[in-house]
Amino acid sequence: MIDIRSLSAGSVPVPADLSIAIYNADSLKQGVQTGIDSYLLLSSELKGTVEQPDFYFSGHPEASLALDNLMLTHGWRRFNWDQVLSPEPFKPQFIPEISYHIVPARVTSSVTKRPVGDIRSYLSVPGKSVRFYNGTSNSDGRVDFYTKGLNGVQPLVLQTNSGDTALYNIDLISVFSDKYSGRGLIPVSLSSLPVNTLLINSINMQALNIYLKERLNQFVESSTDSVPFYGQAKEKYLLDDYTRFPTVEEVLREYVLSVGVRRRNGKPTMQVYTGEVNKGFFEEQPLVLMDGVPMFDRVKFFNYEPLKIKSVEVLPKMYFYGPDVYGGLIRFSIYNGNLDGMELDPDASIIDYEGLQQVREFYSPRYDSPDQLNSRLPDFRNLLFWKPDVETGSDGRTLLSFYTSDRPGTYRGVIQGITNQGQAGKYTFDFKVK
Amino acid sequence: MPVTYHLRALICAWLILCGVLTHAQGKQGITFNGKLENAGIDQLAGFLHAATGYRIYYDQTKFDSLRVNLEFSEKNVDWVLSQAFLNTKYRYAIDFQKNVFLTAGDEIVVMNEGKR
Repeated sequence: MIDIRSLSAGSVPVPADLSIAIYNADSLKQGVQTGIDSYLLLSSELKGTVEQPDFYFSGHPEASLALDNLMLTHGWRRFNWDQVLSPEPFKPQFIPEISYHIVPARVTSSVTKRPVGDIRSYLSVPGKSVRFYNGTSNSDGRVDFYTKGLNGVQPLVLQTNSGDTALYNIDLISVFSDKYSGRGLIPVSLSSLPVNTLLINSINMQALNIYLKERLNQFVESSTDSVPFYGQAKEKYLLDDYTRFPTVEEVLREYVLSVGVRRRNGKPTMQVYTGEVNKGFFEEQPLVLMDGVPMFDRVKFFNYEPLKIKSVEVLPKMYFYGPDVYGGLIRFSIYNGNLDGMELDPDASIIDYEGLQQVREFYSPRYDSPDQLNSRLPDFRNLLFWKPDVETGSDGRTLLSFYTSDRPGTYRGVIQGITNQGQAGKYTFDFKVK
Repeated sequence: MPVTYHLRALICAWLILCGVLTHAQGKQGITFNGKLENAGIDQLAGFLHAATGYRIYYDQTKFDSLRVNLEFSEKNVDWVLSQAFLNTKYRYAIDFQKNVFLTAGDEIVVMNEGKR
């Protein structure tokens, strides 16, 4: 059990956000470790490598003079004056993702291969829940999709609305910066460690991976919103409740009340009925989704095998979604939820996208019950406790508990954090397990 | 001087004997006698721990089908486990810190190849 108190500079209790790690320090090199306070005040602002940044805040008699010298030699500037005085407003390359995960893409002409602006583009995730986003490309051909719930690796469908023609290509732009920090990590030298220490570490790691494989790879269940962006549909048809017809056109004509099938230039089209007397059908085209993916090529859609379709939902309303206006919405769901055999439009591309990483659950065994106490599983963890989101209360206090492992040695705890007044701090402590 | 001579001879003989015994124990480990009848993993592990003081690690759920029938004398842990797991999917490893790892399928490598 550890009792943590966060105090301001005047020893007044203050609430703070903290991170804590407690690890075996026996076989680690005593390298230079930067604390959050020295990073925020020094390392993050100065160019190049600052050696032993914690020294400048250590209270050492020479620290103040050394800090002055450091500032003089590094040429500290808080602002980039070229940017400040530039008539062009500053454009950040990466926008903070506070509420949405931004997926950028670029639209290019399939003929000239040059970026094309003002093209409506769509991103969707095939599946049983609807995740469908739209946007318009700018003059650089770039379009940003503001997505939610893209966790783990998922297939994305990117397309424009050019239907059965392949006028444009749309490809993802990398969401990662290609500029790397010049700050290096402490090099690991295995040859400098005693052979027995290496052997013990090797055995412990094997034991952990064999006995606790499942427990070490547990993730916090991410909550996905199963309600589609349009809310509840007014009409829903489970096709197994009705007579099965051999074509999609017959299905729609026979029992989907709000959808009318017409032929224009010999091609079938769908229109949604307004529900109002003397108004007939919406003039605007409806949004047709199949497993969440928009279908612009109606001919291909009408040739689909209807026995694979599980349900049809209709929203008989004008629907405004981002820059688009739709005369109603028709959603088709396939039994297996993966577009089972549906051929996508020629300009559509399917990409396996690694979205937000799932939140991993830190494994920390409990020995509360007799079964847990009598367990013969080895516990050779060298990282006893790790929590990046510890909060102290208004009294600046919080209690944390954890169990040590079967591995004797010296353990180090590192607590770092920042108060709600912006004061950063770091505290380390050591203890022995015998 | 015969007393001194005998004393020296005795000390020499004792040292040689100690060396032989130590060598035997280092190679063989602790030896013991035992009889196991239809013993499950908990009985086997409890017996080995009591006989040797070694710490035995295993996952109970993976060994529920194991039954051991053995009778032996002056054998070490290595021998007992090799006989107990003969023709099964179970594996064992004994490290230099007197930890015994019993596993199903996977095997822990405990030897330092460079120092063997």
